[in-house]
Amino acid sequence: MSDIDDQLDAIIGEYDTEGDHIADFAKWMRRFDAPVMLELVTKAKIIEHVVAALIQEPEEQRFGLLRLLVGSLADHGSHGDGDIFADLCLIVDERRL
Amino acid sequence: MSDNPLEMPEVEKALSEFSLLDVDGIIEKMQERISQAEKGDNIDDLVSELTQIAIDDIDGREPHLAEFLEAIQDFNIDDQTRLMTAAEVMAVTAQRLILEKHDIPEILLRYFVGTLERFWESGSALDLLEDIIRDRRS
Repeated sequence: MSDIDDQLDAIIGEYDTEGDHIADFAKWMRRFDAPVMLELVTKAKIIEHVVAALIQEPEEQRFGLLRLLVGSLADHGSHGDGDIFADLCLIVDERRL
Repeated sequence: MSDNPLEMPEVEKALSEFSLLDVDGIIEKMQERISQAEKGDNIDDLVSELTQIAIDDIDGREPHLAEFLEAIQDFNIDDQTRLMTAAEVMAVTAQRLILEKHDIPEILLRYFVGTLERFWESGSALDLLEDIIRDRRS
């Protein structure tokens, strides 16, 4: 087993008790080879950094920045057909369960 | 104070933060307005006018950005500058997250929502996301 597999096992073991998003992400990454994994981990780290930066803003200003972030994702991604909103709705519903 | 409004530190600082909007000649329109300014003009009013130029120009093409600019108009210049920088980080990040195919793997969206929920300290991040989606769809 590779180092990456060992690290993924550790992550999954740590977070899997509640079906956490980190464990889901780690499990999903296993289907890819190392370069793709690296790319995906980089993107996940970017998400962590940006959300952490968002949280540091005063509470009354966070909502506007979150709107901007979601809007940017929707405008630039998913072929511009609004799929990201549909995906986000499904994800939010699932996390509420 | 310089006679040239473009050389006023406050205006220079505010304008430099509008790189996010540097599309379709918005900056040129703003500079044209600045060139008409006179010594003694109120800087806060001028910055508000510049922001309004940007809002009018991008509303319809990038509504989330126009809404954001509208929302920060009530803050002072320092806060506007700081928020514009944060906004630029958000916009650049959104583009960075999107693969070359212009698609975002659903798992990354899940990771984003999960991370947001984990970090958010007060209220519900999920409620906020739902509000944003509802607003954007209506």
